[in-house]
Amino acid sequence: MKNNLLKGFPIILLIILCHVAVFGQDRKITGTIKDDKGNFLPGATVQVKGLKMATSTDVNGHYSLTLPENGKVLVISFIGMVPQEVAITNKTVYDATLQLQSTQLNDLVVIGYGTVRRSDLTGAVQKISKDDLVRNNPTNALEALQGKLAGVNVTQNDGAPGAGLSIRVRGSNSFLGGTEPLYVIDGVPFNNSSSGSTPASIKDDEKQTINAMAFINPSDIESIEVLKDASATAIYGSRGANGVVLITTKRGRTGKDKVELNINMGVNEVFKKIHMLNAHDYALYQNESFANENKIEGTAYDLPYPGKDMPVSGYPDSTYYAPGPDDYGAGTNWQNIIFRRALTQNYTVSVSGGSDAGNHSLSFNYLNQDGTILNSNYKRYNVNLNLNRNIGQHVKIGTSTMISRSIMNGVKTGTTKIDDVTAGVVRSALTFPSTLSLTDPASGAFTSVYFVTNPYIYTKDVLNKVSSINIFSSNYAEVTITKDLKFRQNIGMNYAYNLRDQYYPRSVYEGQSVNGWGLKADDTWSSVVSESLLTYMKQLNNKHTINIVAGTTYERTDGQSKNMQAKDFPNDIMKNENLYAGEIQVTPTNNRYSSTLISGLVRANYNYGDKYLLTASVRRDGSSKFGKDNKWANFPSFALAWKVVNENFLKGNKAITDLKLRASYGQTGNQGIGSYASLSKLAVYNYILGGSVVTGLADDYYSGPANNKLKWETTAAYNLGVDLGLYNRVNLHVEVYKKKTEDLLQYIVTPASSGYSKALRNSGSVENKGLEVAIDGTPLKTKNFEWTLNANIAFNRNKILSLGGDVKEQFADNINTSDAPFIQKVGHPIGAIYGYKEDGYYDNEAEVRNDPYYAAQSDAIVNRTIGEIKYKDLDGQPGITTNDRTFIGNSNPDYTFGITNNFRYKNWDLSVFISGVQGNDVINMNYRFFGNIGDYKNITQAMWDGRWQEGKDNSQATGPKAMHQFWRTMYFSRRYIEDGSFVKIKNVQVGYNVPNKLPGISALRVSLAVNNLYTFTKYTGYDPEVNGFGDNPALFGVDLGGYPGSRTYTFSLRANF
Amino acid sequence: MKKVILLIAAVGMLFVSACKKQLQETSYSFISPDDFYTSGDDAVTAVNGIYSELYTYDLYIQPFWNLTLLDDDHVSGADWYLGYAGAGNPSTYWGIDRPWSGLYLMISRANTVLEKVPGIASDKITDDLRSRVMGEAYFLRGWAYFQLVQLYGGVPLRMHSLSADPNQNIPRSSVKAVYDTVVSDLKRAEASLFYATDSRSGQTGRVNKGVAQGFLAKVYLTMGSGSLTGSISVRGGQDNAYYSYTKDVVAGYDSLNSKACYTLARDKALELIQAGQYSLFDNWADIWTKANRNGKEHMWEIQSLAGSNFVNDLHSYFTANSYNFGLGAVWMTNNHYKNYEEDVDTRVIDGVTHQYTAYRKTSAGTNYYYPSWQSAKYSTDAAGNSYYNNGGTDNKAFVTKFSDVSDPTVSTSDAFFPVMRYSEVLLMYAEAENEVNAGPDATAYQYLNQVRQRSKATNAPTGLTQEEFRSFVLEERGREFSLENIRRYDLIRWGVYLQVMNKISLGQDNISKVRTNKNLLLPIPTSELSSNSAITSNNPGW
Repeated sequence: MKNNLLKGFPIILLIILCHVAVFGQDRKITGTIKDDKGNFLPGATVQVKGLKMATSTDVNGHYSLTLPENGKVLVISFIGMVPQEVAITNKTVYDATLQLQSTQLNDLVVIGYGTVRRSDLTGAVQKISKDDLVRNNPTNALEALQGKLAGVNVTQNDGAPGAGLSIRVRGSNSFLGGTEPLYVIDGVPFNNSSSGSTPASIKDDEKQTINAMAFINPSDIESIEVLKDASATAIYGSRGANGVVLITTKRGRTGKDKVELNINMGVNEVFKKIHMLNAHDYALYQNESFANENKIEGTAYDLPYPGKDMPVSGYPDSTYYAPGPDDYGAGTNWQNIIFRRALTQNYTVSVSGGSDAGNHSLSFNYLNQDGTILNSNYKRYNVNLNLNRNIGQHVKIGTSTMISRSIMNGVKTGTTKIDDVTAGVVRSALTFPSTLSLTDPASGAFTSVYFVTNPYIYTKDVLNKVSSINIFSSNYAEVTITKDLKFRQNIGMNYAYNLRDQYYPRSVYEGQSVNGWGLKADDTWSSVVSESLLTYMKQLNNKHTINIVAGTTYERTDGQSKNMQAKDFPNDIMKNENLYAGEIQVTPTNNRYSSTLISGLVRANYNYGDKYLLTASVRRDGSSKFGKDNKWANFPSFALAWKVVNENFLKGNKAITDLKLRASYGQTGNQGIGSYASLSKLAVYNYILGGSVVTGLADDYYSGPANNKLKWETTAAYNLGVDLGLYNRVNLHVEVYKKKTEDLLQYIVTPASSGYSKALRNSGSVENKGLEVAIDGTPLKTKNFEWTLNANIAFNRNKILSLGGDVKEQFADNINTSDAPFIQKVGHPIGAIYGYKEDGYYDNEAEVRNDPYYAAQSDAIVNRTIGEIKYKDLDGQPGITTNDRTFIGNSNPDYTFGITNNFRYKNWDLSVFISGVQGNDVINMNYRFFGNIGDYKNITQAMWDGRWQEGKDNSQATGPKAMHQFWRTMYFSRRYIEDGSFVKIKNVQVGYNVPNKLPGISALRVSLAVNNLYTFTKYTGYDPEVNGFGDNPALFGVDLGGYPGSRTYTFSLRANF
Repeated sequence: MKKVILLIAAVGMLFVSACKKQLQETSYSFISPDDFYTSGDDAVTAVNGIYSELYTYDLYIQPFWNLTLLDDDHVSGADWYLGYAGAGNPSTYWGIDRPWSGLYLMISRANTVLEKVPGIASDKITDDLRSRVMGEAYFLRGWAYFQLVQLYGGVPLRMHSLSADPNQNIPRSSVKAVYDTVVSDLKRAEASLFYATDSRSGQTGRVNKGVAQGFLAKVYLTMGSGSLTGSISVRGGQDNAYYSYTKDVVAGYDSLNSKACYTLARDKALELIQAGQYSLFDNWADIWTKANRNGKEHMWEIQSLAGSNFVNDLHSYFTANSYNFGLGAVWMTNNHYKNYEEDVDTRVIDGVTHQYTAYRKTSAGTNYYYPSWQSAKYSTDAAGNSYYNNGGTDNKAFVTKFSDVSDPTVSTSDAFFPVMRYSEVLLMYAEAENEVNAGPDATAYQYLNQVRQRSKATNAPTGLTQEEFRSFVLEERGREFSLENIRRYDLIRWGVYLQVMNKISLGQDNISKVRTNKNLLLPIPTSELSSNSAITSNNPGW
């Protein structure tokens, strides 16, 4: 069908031409059409305005046309060029020079080590430019990407101000190396994770991530390009496997100096609260729980809320009134106590300008964002300097330097503690008894219970501050050697320092047991990047264009960290500022590392007739991190593109304004492991002998044996793409890809009996395949009204092909002290969840006895089992053991999507941005924390309503009976896993461009926006968009009692002077 | 174009020659094993690394005893603490898998020492030091296997480090094969080590020849009792009466010769007694003072040091004056308390806290006394302060063993934990002699009474039959080593653990003593099962 259609095109064209000839008169004109560089334009259309009469230029840009008498104006057009009208006079020769049209297609797109016209892209590259970046008032660059690009899945780790985000491009490739793409800022790679690298914390409790990309103010960004397929990323070799994010900052533009002021003021609030039991119901729950224990176990506990006079312990003759459920009403909603409406202020001032000699841009940013939990706050100061200078005709130099200082005051959220008094603020707020008030009415002291810390004290008294300084500087000198040959030297310098100040005073459990616990821990790293590049560009006889880049790079990263702690302070006054005052000095620890990457690269682009494009590249990388036998590897790529739209048969087609087919293959690597991973190490294991500490050394349990063969994981990827433009209005991009990653870096679990916990090996492979569709366009456009639409949807399927050797399955790291539900098994995706299946409840004794496991058990055990969860016995052996587990969930989404609609009416505009993730599971570890229905922690209304009750209809029960006990084993089942699908109205914004009438102000815009307006989800926690373990691909989608997401109302003002 | 190619080639050449050196890793913060094991100092440092594992959250900081000490008939405590392993649900306790990894880590490090130390050049290490270090490594490996076989039954025998033998799949051996290894290691340790009084034995806190002999005796004793048939009576149940149980042969011990084992146990105990290396402290209270740590009766203790990282939870959990919790979490049951001669035996007069002030950290505190039936004696102290006891939940017999620490106001303090005391050697002799002779002889009585007399307890009744004497020694061990992590092992090696525990059913303080078969052994960790393909099945019930 397609073939027939294509064959038909020239015939139709012929008919049209014949038609023209019939009506032709005898005046003949000729001419030559060139582009602005003086190149002849073959295939340009020359048309007589208002008449159906046209011709096109030949290979030399020459045309001839027979003019009708009523012809007044010639219209000369060429795809990608601004059409030109030429008045017809008595002349017979009409030459024209067409200017490049600044449409999307001719946008320059930054690719690695160069730029190309969008229309010349051979790989899967997506761009997001400045207007789209700042539309949602993001406070950091990655947030700006969220939902905008197909196949680029950005997830906030939690809702804390300044928190890190995880980004996954086209699925997870790795167990170990992270999903983080490589960030390249103004040409210089940023050698750090955007969500990692937070200094050590006390007991390593703090899972809160901090965004390391915070040093870039989104307002300073000109564009972000994401390289997705291997042909685009292979030029980054060993770091390209997770995609590459290229960030280009704004430069000054030639012309008068411009001052821009940008003010955002916002109010944040938690968009959801969880319905916990009120005081009356909590008292009922506790009474029922103890009454059940007394009844079933024969114990004789007093009910916790008896509602009668009780004897005073130790004073035989006294009594006091112990309140009962009816003495309580709603009680205290602890969430209301720790959550607040919080203010965000964000100011940016920038000055920019330029002349023939160069350009400059300087901007300052101040962000002060209060968190929705008391006492959490994030402050940031940024300076961004972008200078470019022409020295003579042939030399250009420039710098892009960013300096940032940020301070994050955190509260403890997101911990892997499961049944611990120190499980963080959010869990405290959920489970602290609603029967207690903030302070004890008698003593005035803050109330306390032994099983969790009072959440208010938690937020108020704990110090947990991370201060960071980041300097990122990208500098270059560019020399034009000949017309075609350029040399460019990049020097990048990069420095980061993070310091954590932490102190747990006596008023919280972490500090109470040790009389105060203070910490100062920091990490710092710096890197130097040197890149020497030669670029050769040549056009030969109008048909052939070649572009070659070759270069070498050298990168060295140095880092160190230290950790000082002390406990047992005389009082809490000095907090952690004088650790010497602590009676117990925790042994300080520190670490230093360095790594080096040396590379050579070549890439050639060949363009034939603007129809056929070929790209080939190879990079050779040597990295210090790998085993001594495997330091070097090559990463080749090839790509082909066919610009079908430039074929003659589509010439002049009004419907199809762009059509390009692309195919590519490439290999990329992932070197996302730390230094020294291939070496074995002796670690310090001291002991006390003869009354003092003696040094002991032994093989490091955690780092495993040496591996000289350790090497890169290699991803080989195929990509097919179609770009289709219709009526210059709508663009459709479809990508299909399949990639296979081999030699996965992974810690093979060694049996504990081997004396190591794990060994780092290259083994196993994983496959990702997917489909991405992106559409953008302008469905409606009139003078006063415009509607633009941007939508994308992406499907990715991940599958483990092999784990290496004879390993059939293994488990990822624990997500708390006892659960490791993420299984890695051949044929299943990374992120598959393994656990037990439930099968209702044991409703009566007969049902318990009927279970072979309980058939011969004592009456005591059978009795207490009534009203308990019945787990499916899958292995047929009586009793529930680890063999009864099966696949119960998957944290990978079926698909993700984003839709942005922008409407403009005169000076008003409205934009609505919706994003969604569908089909993924989220592990809600909060329920693991308080779902036992058998201790003192408060529970949700749903748990209470759904409990099994003796003598009631339990067909709808969702939980076991309420019973105080210590023997109940809650196996990891679907109970803790929820459908994490969501559709979020991420942003709605109304803006008004004030008509330009004010003196001194060239443009003024005000807008009102709501972020996270509404979330459609079945998830019962705060926010389904949660990811407690950051970019760890093996532990994706876990809610560790993380900081709740918030809704933000923002007023913005942008003015240009 | 040619120029370009030339240029690229030139740059490429430059690049290739660009230093292989740059990619060599320089380590700053750790030592590579390649640069180690070259001197006597290195050998000592390496063997210290084995001991270090004792003081971790795998072993003696908590899980190693939490899973066992809290799980016998004589212990009671707070339900929030004993509700896990203490109530027969070890799998709900976070530390369930830790002893396995901890003990094997010791084995792995001992294997490394045994592989590397013989290769140290003889001009870099003295023969005596090499012998001692090898002896320590043999002992610690044998000791670790002894713990493993008691806790898990037949376990994989790893006799080489993973770098020497990369095979990570090793099947379980029989109980007997593990015991053979234990005995062989301890014998080699005995031959290589020096007695503590010999200056060549190194610092206090190290194992020495005496410890090796003591544990050899204990291993034989465990094998002997495990394979014995007969009956034994144990005091207990709800009513604290004597119940006679037919003892089961412990699973896996059936191929052992009980009498031969007991003979070896007796002889080894006697050899050690006659060596005169150890003696009992004169008074019960002396054992537990700070000043007497590592003193003449303490054969091997887990060492602590106030103000260092080597501090532990024992004080918080086991003493009445737990500044951390307000009140300790573990105490002996009233029934067990009544198992002593109440007004005679210093093990309860001095060994139990009779008056204390709880909850001092958060309030002025509340005064309690113990036991409620001794109101006349304890409800008022010399200064006239009143102490309370409601006769029920206030009856908590806290032991004093772990209370003399440098700073009782912090949660982790420097209590020492006794691994073996000399009194156990005396009681082992008595037990073994009674089995070898089919009845107690004078020396058996002598050593038993030596232990009792030190606590001012009256002598054991004369004329006991073999079974009566056996039962008496078991109860005496219960009294002498209360909360020293010995009772549960005794019940298990005698094959009466399930019967004794279930006789109580619901214990004091609502602590469940209901046990099933699976409680006899701990589960092999799931991670071991999934990563060691040679292990095909877990222990019964897990």
